[in-house]
Amino acid sequence: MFERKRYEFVLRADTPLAHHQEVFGNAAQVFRKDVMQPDGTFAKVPYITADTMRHGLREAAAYALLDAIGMLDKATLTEAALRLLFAGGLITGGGAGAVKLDEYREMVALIPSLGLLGGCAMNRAIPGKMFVEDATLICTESEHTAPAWTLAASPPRNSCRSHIEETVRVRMDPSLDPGKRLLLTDGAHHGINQRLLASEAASEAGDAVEKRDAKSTMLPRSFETIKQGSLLSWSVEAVIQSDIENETFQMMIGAFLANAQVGGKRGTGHGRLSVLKVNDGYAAREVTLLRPSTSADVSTAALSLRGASVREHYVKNADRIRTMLSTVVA
Amino acid sequence: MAARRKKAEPAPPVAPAAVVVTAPAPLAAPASVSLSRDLGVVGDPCDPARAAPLRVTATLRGPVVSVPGLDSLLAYAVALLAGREPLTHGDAGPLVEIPILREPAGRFHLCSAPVYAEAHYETRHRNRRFPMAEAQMLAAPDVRRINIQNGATKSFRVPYQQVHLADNEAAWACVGDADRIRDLLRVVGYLGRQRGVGKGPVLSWRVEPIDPWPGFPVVKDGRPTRPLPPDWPGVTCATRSLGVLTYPYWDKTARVPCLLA
Repeated sequence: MFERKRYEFVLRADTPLAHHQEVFGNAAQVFRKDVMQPDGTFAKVPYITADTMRHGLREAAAYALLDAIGMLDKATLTEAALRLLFAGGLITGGGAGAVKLDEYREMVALIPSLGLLGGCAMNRAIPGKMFVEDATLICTESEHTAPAWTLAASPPRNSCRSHIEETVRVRMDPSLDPGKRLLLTDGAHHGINQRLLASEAASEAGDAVEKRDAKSTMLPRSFETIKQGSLLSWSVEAVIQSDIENETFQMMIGAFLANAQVGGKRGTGHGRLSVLKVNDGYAAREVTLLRPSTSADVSTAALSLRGASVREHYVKNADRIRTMLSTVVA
Repeated sequence: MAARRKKAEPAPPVAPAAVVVTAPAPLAAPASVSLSRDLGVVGDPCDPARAAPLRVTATLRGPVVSVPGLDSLLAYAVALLAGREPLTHGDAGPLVEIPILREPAGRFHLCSAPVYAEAHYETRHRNRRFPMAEAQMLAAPDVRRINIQNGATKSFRVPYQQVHLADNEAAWACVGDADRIRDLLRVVGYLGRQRGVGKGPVLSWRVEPIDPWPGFPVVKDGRPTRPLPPDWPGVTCATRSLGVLTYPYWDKTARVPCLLA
């Protein structure tokens, strides 16, 4: 079996996306990339990095594996196994001249997601066979780069600038609340009163240095988000060489997209993504690139169904996988 | 004030033991990749009767981090289709034959390095963070401390540069079998480094005949278009340095004196 298979999706931001590339002072800026325009100029278009999407897939695959072999409810992973499953592992040095191909083959056969995503294990770099792309905002500056069918599903109407929202939040200082100050010990209460008095005196005197030294820990900050409801174009491709790889690939995508959350501020609900629904189906397309060209609409429900045979594979090999994870060098 | 050093305690008496003199361990040779005919041959060499001067063009649909040689792309495709494991340092594997003619002495294939013009550079970063949240949930009790400043669990943020090519195109010149090259290149969907995160996406491949020039395809206007052995004829302007003559080009232990552009 040999296939190059790609899935293309239109994703919708169910909540604002706070995926930040840099912080200037107290202001965080969302990731933007240069997109070449038809006239040769460049525009900065917001996007979710491929690294983030890829990590989401890796994490989904790792949780599916641990769940199937009964290791999700127990704290039993070694540091190396944790690093291998959730961060791809690393070459730990020593013995690099004596890597064993049979160990590599067994590992990839037991955990097909390792063969797809690649990583480092047993002092061996495993090149991946999966190519994950950025999830790029669909807007007038990026429409010429998105697959044509995605534009039919969601024609862009706005410039990328109109998809960005700047939000201001404040981390409060609980010591400014008299009610909460009553909860303090006498010494701490006295200390805070002294600081507040010093701050007030400095304000009245216009003493900037003293005011700075006595200021509260209240922290106003601003951050950009990609607005709720914005659409993004995303694709993921893999070289598939067996049925179990094919099913693992689909299971990873299904598991990730069933509960996708990307970027920061997840604790306040930011970053939820889902596949756009169009009529009764999903805005998604499966493209088999190497075999006689075919394309078909797929639904994430169909993707997740494939997970059953992957789970069966994991359950059947649970003991060997557990042994491998307990001894892996990664 | 300097801290007082604790005085070393005298070592406990030990029974005299026979002195064993061991020879110093020999220095390990750098691990190299060895592609050997002794381990078999994967793929078919180019049939000289079907070989023609060609220009191979990749049209990209995004930026690329590096553009590899056409011969290594074809070798990757041949090995992948044959179901061979990817090789790494210290491995030995079979010889990989591709549908590009070898030079008369068989040291490398007759194809140029990629030719392209850069339109725009962009800096991106690669991050790694230890999965701390998962460690708190899933790590065994004996994993007590995670040092994210040093060692295996260290986090990093490494910059790299990606380039948008002019006209989104990279091209190679070669002497080979057009049909077989076309077939193999259908396997190659992404070029260069950072493919896993979608860098170097290929929109289409074009393989077309080209009028050869003197020295085609490895010398143009007296300059080498790829690393060449020092005895290669027709080179009038080149830098002499160390280079790798054939794939895998990342194997720096295979460097030999070469003529470079």
